[in-house]
Amino acid sequence: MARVVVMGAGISGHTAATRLRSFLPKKHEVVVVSPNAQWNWVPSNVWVGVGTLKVKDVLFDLAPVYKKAGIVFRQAKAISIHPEGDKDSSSPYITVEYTEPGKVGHSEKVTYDYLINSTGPKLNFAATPGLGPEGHSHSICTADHALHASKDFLAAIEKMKKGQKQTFLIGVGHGMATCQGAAFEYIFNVEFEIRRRGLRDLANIVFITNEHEVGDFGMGGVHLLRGGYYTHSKIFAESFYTEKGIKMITRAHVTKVEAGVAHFVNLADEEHKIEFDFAMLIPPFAGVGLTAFDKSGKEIKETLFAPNGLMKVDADYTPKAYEEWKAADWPKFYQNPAYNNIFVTGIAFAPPHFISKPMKNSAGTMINPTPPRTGMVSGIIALAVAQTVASIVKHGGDQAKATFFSASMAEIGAACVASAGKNFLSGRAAGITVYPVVPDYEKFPVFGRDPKFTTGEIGLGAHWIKIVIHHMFIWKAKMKPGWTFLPE
Amino acid sequence: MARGKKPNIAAKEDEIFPYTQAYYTALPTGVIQWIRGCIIWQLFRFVVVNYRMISMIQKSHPHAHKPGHH
Ligand SMILES: Cc1cc2nc3c(=O)[nH]c(=O)nc-3n(C[C@H](O)[C@H](O)[C@H](O)COP(=O)(O)OP(=O)(O)OC[C@H]3O[C@@H](n4cnc5c(N)ncnc54)[C@H](O)[C@@H]3O)c2cc1C
Repeated sequence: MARVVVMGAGISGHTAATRLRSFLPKKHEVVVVSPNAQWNWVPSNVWVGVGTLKVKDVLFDLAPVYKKAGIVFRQAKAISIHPEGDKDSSSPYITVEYTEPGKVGHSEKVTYDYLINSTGPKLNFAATPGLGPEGHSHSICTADHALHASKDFLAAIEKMKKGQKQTFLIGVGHGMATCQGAAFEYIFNVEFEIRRRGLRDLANIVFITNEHEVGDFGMGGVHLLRGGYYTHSKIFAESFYTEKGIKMITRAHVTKVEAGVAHFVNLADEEHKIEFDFAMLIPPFAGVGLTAFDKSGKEIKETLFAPNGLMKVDADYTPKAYEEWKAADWPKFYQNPAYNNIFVTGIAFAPPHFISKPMKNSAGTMINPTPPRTGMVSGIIALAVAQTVASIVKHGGDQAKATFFSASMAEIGAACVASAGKNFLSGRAAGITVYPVVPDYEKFPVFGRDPKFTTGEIGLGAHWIKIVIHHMFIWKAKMKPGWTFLPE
Repeated sequence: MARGKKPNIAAKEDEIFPYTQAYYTALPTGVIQWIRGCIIWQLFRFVVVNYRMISMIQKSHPHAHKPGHH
């Protein structure tokens, strides 16, 4: 009997756990450790944040789903990893602290044969003073944050109904934040909701980003073949912002958020501030703060984790200049190099470097997006890891006999449907496919991507796809009939 | 008084001034905007974009490496 412990029940952890359960015979145990009782379809938080979707529509309880599937669920937070066990036993284990009502604060050891780290990001609001729901700006990164954002957004709408002008500042709240796509979706939904109510003339809507140019999305942007030209996504993104009358501030690092004022510096060293009535700024991400110890009890955090707290995997972490970056630097199997029974999925793995070119101002402040790990990418990585771990388990732990499954970000694409307004007839979305996520200039000269699979268009049809995706992924996550046939 | 025909662009004229960032962008014509919401055309695009996404997703699914070849 083998026990696989999955830390985190977000998009990638839940995929890894449910897929593993379907691949492994019941004599093997799949255990999920995650602090939240509910699963969240994060992409639809954008709609919760403007009040067009109820929070209950993006959440469901995990315990009954896991019980039915035969997955053991511990509503707890992983604290430390002990890959060599301790003085008393050489069985590897993690320590967890319960968050489940009635057991809050209670600690326990959970032993494992294989460990999958799917803990996602820590929302690092502390990196920018005053950033976040406990400071002066909103976030839509969790369902709860999105709900709070919607309350203030709707309050701003009420003020506009009384004739008051409002400034909406939306974007990213740090020079090294990622997830520009979520901010892009949110700002267009905000604009749509304001225009729909006939209040557009009273709203000043401003996008603030660390991207060198809008449309970079942390991937250096993409070239799309449209109208007989290979055109960079900057052109399409800029066009869409302009069309909707949204002002753009690029190359910006938000240094401080005060009540109603955001301060920022840019790549040209200029310091500015902008006043706002409502702000939603995505924070930078870091690892969730797990630590690790060897058998003697000595801390070995640096062995397992990169300095940003994300876990090291089979990537090439040798520092290199942008011009020397290669597709082969990116991990294939998401296996920790020090302990081969530890795997990582989704945002929790440490990328070898950025995808966008690193940029600094003369004070040394880095202003460029960090690499995005979207839902589809996170899901495919989780599937590959589940397939690999299942094969290892079926071969009695003999890794030389097992089949390994690779999912390098330089070999997988991303399908993104960026909502720009939710309404069955007047809604819009940008339907984008990018292949591969990490450009491979050896395989695809000049642009690094396959033009056949790198496409994008705006329309109502893409909005319908977004609705289908919302229902399909929640159906799949609930493990309802046919879920195994649905793609990641 | 304006003598030329107002270009049929989606953005508002008074927000686009020469020598501002907005002036340099590509802007969709009214026709393109109409197409984005035209039900018949969008039903067709719904099928096309779905097909494109599914074929890209299939291409992106994990690759198996024979034992000992990883
Ligand atoms: C607003 C928004 C919109 C987005 N829209 C899209 C989109 O349209 N399309 C798309 O592809 N992607 C989208 N994304 C990105 C997508 O949500 C992420 O790629 C995805 O959630 C990453 O999955 P993950 O499993 O790595 O992390 P998460 O989904 O964040 O899951 C991490 C899990 O780990 C748990 N955890 C944290 N700490 C611990 C601990 N110490 N011990 C145990 N468990 C722990 C958390 O509670 C959580 O359950 C969006 C993101 C945001 C914020």
